[in-house]
Amino acid sequence: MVFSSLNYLFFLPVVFFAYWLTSGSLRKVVLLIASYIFYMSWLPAYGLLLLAMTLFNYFAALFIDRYRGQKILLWLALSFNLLILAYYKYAEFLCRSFFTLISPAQKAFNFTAFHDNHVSTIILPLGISFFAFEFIHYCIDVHRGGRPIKNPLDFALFSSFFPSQISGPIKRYQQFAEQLSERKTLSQEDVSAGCGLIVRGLFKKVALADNLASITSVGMNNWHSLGTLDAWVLMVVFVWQVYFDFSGYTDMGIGSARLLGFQIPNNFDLPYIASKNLIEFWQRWHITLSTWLRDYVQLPMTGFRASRLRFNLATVVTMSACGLWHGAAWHFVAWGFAHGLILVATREYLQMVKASSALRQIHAQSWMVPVACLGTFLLVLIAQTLFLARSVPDAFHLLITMLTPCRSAVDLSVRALESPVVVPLILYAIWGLVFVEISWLPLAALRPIKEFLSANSARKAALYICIFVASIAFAPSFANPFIYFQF
Amino acid sequence: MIKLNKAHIQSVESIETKVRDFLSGNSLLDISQAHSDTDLFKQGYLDSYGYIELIKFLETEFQILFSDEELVSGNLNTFANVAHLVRTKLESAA
Repeated sequence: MVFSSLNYLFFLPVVFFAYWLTSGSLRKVVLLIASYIFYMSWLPAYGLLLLAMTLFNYFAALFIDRYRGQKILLWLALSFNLLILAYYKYAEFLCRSFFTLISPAQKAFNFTAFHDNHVSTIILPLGISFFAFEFIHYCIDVHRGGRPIKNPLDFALFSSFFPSQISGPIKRYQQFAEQLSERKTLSQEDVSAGCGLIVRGLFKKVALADNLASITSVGMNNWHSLGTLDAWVLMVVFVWQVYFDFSGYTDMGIGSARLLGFQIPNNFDLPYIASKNLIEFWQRWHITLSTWLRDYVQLPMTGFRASRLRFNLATVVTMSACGLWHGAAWHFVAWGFAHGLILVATREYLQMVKASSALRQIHAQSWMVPVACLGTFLLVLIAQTLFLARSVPDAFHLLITMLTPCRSAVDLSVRALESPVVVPLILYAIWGLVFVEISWLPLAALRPIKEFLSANSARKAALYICIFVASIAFAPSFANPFIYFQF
Repeated sequence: MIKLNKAHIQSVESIETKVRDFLSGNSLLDISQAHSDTDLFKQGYLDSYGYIELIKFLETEFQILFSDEELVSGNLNTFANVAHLVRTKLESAA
């Protein structure tokens, strides 16, 4: 079951009414059953995997808390979670890389290595990268002195909460446990905000991302016949497709949680529009992953008193790991590595700016903000070739196509202009101009429209209905899975 | 660590001023826009390396030593939180 499916359209109201018509522990039981139904609707057997990981981490944290100071317990818990993640996500990648590495020796010495075909049939459990990271955070924070969740029902809910189960946001248990202990009442504010986020997410996913996906797939299928303009169009389309797809999913997840009285962390804050450099981009893009990597990979690697050199090295290693987290393939690692290098270059440049009054003055100019935002967007777009390509050589081929004049055999730009995505994109841009505050755009004149549309519940409801109808009207006949489901 | 007496303990306001002065010299953003309770990470005044530089500054300036638990628990995300934690450390050292 996915958020943008018809099934979810029936599932969510049923859960909503069952949840609010019950109280106390029964309400939590309703939510837990709903979360497992949601997860097991895809592949029932993997519900047992989630349950096993939940039970293990529940008891592991209790032991970590009881025998505080015994690092071996933490290492056991981390190893368990990482081994499960490695088995399901990286076994095939590791085997493939190993056999590629030894193939020259195989040829030279004429021997055949045992190759277990079983690894290529492993099905990746949905959301495992996300809930494994939540378990790791939980065990580490308990080891650092946090109080473990004693109530097994509360812990089971933390690990299976369906609005954030498949693709995050990656929750922190302290905030979630606090909300579980609160006495919840159904508020008009939560319902209004929740519905608004769900219809906005639905529009982003079905009207925008799914329509953009059809242009991307034409480009992917004609990778070696693209002209220069096609290659740029493909990358512009793809970076926006990823944003609409993932942020659409996140909006629907956060909106669903709000309907149940929960606040889960935001994952996006105008990453393509408002990021003046790549450091800021990662503070605005997939926020819960980047803060997780900061707190549980980078800072533990460097300590809190690291030199800049050591910190920069740790940045490259962390971002390469971030790439590997996204997918078990070398082009994802290269994508993370490239981001790491650009982050280091950005940090060094900013140190230069801080030290130079002339550079400081240039950066203080108002025109620098849109220029810096555009430059950051271009850097992200170019690095994203490694994300989209099926291999590193394919990514370099696309980059060369982008940077050297090549004739087109596909006319992707014409296809993009004729695509049904154009109208919803214009509508989204108008919505963005009215409702989103962007510091460097003079949009004050549009504020009365926003105030008019947000003035009362009836107008808000009318707006949400319009967005919902538009989502259905512009939805393509095919449905694409959410991109981040594969991670 | 130098043992401090009570006369060395500074007010929360003066600690916050010193932290503001440090960050304004280390950030390209206008620190005067940030309130005492503004989340310095969320508003972009601090990134992870900026955080490390802030910790180095606090430990040198106030001659205190933070434990790793204090640094990872999100205690130092606003001017007010920084000033309160520093003051608590100064008081316990006095």
